[in-house]
Amino acid sequence: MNPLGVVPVTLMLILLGSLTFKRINTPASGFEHALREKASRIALSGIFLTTAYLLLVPPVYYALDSIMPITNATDLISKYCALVAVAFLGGHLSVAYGSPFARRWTVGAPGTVVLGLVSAGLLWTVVATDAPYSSPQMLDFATQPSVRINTWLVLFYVAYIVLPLVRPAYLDSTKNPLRTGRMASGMIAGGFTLSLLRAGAYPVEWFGSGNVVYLYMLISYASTALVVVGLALFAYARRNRKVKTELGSALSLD
Amino acid sequence: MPVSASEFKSWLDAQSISTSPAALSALTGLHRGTLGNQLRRGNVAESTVVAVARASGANVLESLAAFDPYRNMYTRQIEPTPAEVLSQVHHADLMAELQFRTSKKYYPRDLRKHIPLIDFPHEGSNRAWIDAIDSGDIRHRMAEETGMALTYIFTQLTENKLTPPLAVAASRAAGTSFASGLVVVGLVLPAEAGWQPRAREDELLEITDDALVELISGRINLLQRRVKQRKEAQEYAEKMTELLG
Repeated sequence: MNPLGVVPVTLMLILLGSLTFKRINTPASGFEHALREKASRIALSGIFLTTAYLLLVPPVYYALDSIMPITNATDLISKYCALVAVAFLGGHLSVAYGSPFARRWTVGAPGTVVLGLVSAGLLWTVVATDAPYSSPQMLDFATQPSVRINTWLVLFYVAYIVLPLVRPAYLDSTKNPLRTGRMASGMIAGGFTLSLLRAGAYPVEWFGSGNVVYLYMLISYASTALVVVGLALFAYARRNRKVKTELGSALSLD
Repeated sequence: MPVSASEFKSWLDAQSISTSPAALSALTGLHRGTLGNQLRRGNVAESTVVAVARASGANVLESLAAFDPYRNMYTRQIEPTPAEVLSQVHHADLMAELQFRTSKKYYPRDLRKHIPLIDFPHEGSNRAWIDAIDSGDIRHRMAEETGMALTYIFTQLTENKLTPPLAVAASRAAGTSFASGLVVVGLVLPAEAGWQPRAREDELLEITDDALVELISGRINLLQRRVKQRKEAQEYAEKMTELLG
């Protein structure tokens, strides 16, 4: 087990797991709000993303993969979970940021077609990979073209979803009246930009060798962390009624 | 529009003040890096000139008048008009005056004997000043003179962030005191620009009933707009936190 592959995944799992748990399991209206009301798709996205990372933790990965019909099918399931999480997130953010174009793009007909194609492509690349044994994220076979295409498909889909959301998120980071909201949207826009950069720089990554691949993966981890912390800041603002406390009476001088 | 660094250095030489950022920092309390940057870039902020003038005991208005954008300072009267002074009284103080005049029994003036008027600049005070000196097309004339977009001027007024050059342009367009504009934007202290120590309190006592009511009415209209904007902002923030939180 390469610690370069295990440690970031574990840290991400802790971050995602704790924030998702916190979002779902908060006192008062937290649970109801998280799973049944307007922000339910964010909670679902968090659950899917946490599951995706959980499946990549070596003990879980090896145990699950041993009962799978195809070697490294666990990686495939993990990536499907991640794709669904990203689709949920994209659809929800497009509504929140008020962008009908982003909504059509992410969860409308074009978004569904792209998700279908990417999912089929992922299945094909896993089957096409010459993998005699299980390897989390198929890192041991990372030099095979099928694995490179597999990685690129995920990066492409994430970039496809976040592309129309960068501008609305950035605009909110400048116009949201709440300081916490501006910071949160700024983090989300920053995370999306990092995702786009990694997808855009994939040709460079394709020809990279050795442990450089871990460096590129860190970009995706950082991007994910920025987005989930940004969303957690919105949850914090809601729980602490920041709108009421920070944007009080327009008549007050204090 | 900041003043030119070369003019600033010549002025410092004329005042026998060192031009080094370290010495200026020690004199004014401003950050040395900030002063160094201003001198290096060739643009010195008006507030720096004012800080140096205050620290060296020079007359602030005379010091500003040594620089290009402010040379005409003394071509007009320095003292403000009563309307300009009243424009810097907060609407809450105007309404307090209304209450004092309404009933000595229920609103005795002595209640706030030791409480000063709300300081300015306060929210909306820039806009109130412009309204007080506006003869009709002042915003367009400010835009023409400064070369700034009209929308930028509107934004500056809404955010109460009128700059000294815009204040000078407004004074020029309205034919009023240049110095008062600089007081209103907070660059110069009232006392440094010929305002009487209790100018606002005195004008508040002297204003006629009808003028007071008219002034309050105008301010209430502005306040109504501001409250509406704040409500929309609150609703937007609420929606975002509900959807994403």
